[in-house]
Amino acid sequence: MKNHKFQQIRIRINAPGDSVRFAAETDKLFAKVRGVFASVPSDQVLVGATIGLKINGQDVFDDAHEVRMITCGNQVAPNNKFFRFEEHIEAGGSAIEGRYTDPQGTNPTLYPYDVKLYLWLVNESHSDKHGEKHPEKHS
Amino acid sequence: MTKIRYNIIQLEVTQAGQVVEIRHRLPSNYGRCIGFVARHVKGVYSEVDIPEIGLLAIEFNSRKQLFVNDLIGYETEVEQLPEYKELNIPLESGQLITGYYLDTQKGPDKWPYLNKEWFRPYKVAIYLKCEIQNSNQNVRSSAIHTTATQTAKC
Repeated sequence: MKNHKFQQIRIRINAPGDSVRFAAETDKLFAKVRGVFASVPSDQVLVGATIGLKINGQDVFDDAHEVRMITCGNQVAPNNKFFRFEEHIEAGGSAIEGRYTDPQGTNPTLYPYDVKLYLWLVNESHSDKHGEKHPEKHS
Repeated sequence: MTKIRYNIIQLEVTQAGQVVEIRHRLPSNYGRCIGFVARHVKGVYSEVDIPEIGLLAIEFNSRKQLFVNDLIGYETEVEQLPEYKELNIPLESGQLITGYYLDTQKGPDKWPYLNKEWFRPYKVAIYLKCEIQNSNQNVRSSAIHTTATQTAKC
């Protein structure tokens, strides 16, 4: 049985200033959401872009949370790209809801573009084997 | 169960050298502040990184604890994930977060006569990472309220 999955959610942004709601469901075979990473095609659309996220009815980020807080550049190693959740966020078929808001006043030639939101799903047993760098709370 | 929330304080800087006052009330169910990040959001444009565009001081629990003094810089490219600096401040319910942000940007030396016309308004965001304690108690209190309402109807 697999212990990791990177689940992708794709959000299409058609015009500057678009505010797009998205909904999905986490893979049922995985117990926990360990982290999240947002990928956008250009740094220009990142300035002022915000994302709200709710997983399993739990507020993870408010709508005013900047996308910049959950992304990083290409020079960062794949294992360190993800913003890691310290708390336990239930996966196992949980509902994902969110809203992506594009900043106004960016270069119109960049549109339309796709934002890719990657959720790092894991099963609990695997984290112990690999000695995770960040401490996690299981309360 | 302990849960984590990210509370965002947004500041707008509209004049060069401006002092922006911070007065912000956190939700009353926040038990402890465990980290913070302060960063430029948008407005400043430069071809190179600027190590300092402003200074930040934050006090917790209605000025009882001065805990954060920080420099805010500007980065041209997205590099590392922003790292939360560690705090460990028990929050008193209903108390204010106060403080100041001071713009310290310097204009270009070659245009001193332009009298601050180089300045463009910008935004700064302060992210506070907080623990919510006793979330079960909150559920219970709302349940009591519902029961009381039902009793009143009967």
